[in-house]
Amino acid sequence: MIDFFKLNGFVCDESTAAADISAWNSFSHLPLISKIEEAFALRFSFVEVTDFQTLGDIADSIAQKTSAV
Amino acid sequence: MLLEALYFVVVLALSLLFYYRTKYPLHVLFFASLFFIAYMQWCAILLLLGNAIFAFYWGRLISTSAKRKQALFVFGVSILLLELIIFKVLLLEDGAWTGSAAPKLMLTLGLSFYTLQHMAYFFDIKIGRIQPEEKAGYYILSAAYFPKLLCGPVITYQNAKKALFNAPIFKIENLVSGANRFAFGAFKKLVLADRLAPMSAAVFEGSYPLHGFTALFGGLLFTLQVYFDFSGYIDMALGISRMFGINLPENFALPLRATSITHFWRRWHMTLMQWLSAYVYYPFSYYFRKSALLSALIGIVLTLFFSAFWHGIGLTFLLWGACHMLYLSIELLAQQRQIEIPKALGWFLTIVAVSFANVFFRAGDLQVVYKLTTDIFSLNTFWPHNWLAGFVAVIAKGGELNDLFNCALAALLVLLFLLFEARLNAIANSDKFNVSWLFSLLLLIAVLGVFSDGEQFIYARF
Repeated sequence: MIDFFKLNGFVCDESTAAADISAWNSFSHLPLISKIEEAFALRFSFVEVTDFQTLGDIADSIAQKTSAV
Repeated sequence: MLLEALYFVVVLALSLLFYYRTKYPLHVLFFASLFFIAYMQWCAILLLLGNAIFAFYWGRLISTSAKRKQALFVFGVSILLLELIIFKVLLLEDGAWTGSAAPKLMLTLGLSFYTLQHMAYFFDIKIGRIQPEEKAGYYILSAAYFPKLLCGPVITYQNAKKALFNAPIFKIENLVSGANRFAFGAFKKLVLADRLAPMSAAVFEGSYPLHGFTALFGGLLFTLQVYFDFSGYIDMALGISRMFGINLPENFALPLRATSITHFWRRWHMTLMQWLSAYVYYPFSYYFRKSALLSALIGIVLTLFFSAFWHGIGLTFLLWGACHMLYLSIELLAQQRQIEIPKALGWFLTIVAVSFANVFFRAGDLQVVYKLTTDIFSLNTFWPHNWLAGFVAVIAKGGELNDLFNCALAALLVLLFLLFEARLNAIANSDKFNVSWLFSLLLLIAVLGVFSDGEQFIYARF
């Protein structure tokens, strides 16, 4: 996340939302998701992608998918 | 006008009284909504009910047919789009800006807004985000709810359900904050928007050629007019709804202070942009997400194409959409290359770019577009040599004394308003009874309001 948005010195946690990072907008949301999919070798459904509100939501979904494998 | 206002206040007061006193508050909302539509144009009830019943049953059909889900969804959306096209073409033939479209316009009361709700409903059922509503009455009420019917805000069924279907709890604070917000909206519409209307009309419906600056300034005047008109309506809608204890979503967040077009669209007609983002941008861009640039560009083009179509069928609206496609694409490329400009310059460029695009939005036909853009791009004659004749007299319709007075008054009021807008918004949203606020607004409306021309709400045309 820090690398993707080039946020030097920014501290993010599970509650970090798009509203906290100005560069996290409609244009960057999907490429961000794509990078995460590549990094963890998994795939998010359309509903998951559009329902993600915070980093915690994304982390929970990754944990769920990786533990199921 | 006075009689209409009195009639509306009496109906609203009775609806509130019954809403809080009866065991069937949703029935009261339903009949109040039908009463409101019938008062505007009784035929519109048929179209609204027909659409809502179709959406209700079609939604159930989509959810129950596992194999044909996609086909049923596409067919349902196609029917709604076809209907929208038919009515928009009828409006276009009558000339949406001239006012002659009034009878047909009233027939389609709120059509563009509730159609968006139905399409989102089909989509959310198709992807399994929601279950179809069990009770037809609930679904119809969510579409017919009168404060949002005419000009929004755009709302999805699940949000309408959360907002509307709660047991009413009477709180005096809701009445007070609703009245504060309603009076604020009435001031924006009757004093600011309707005072700006003759000035922008003078540019768009006057004689040509104009100096480029005057033509571009016409775009700014229209931008201000549509902002006060539309946000004024939204304030009134949210104010009335708040009196019933029902909170509708906000639609504007100081858009004229945006420092980029991307920011502008996050602050202007927010509920439409959220709808477009959820139901046009993401569904298409999702499949191209591996390429950041391609997914964003495809999303931008499709979103603004749909937005232009939703506002009206015609090349002028397409050109308006194309302007914003270009602006957003440029900003996207600048963002990717991490190019930043000073905020003050960003604000200035945003205002100029929005005003220029609104020349196409307001022009009405291609002849006017051609004349105005030729004027704007004629660099030799861009600045008026004689400001009194080439600028003031144009926007003041020839420069009669009362028109000059209107221009000066409108300029003063708009500047003061924009300067203190954030503070005024805070007072309008307060739930404290503020006699001086309400009295000042009512006095300003009574003294400075425009009541004679019967200007319609601009977004009721769409």
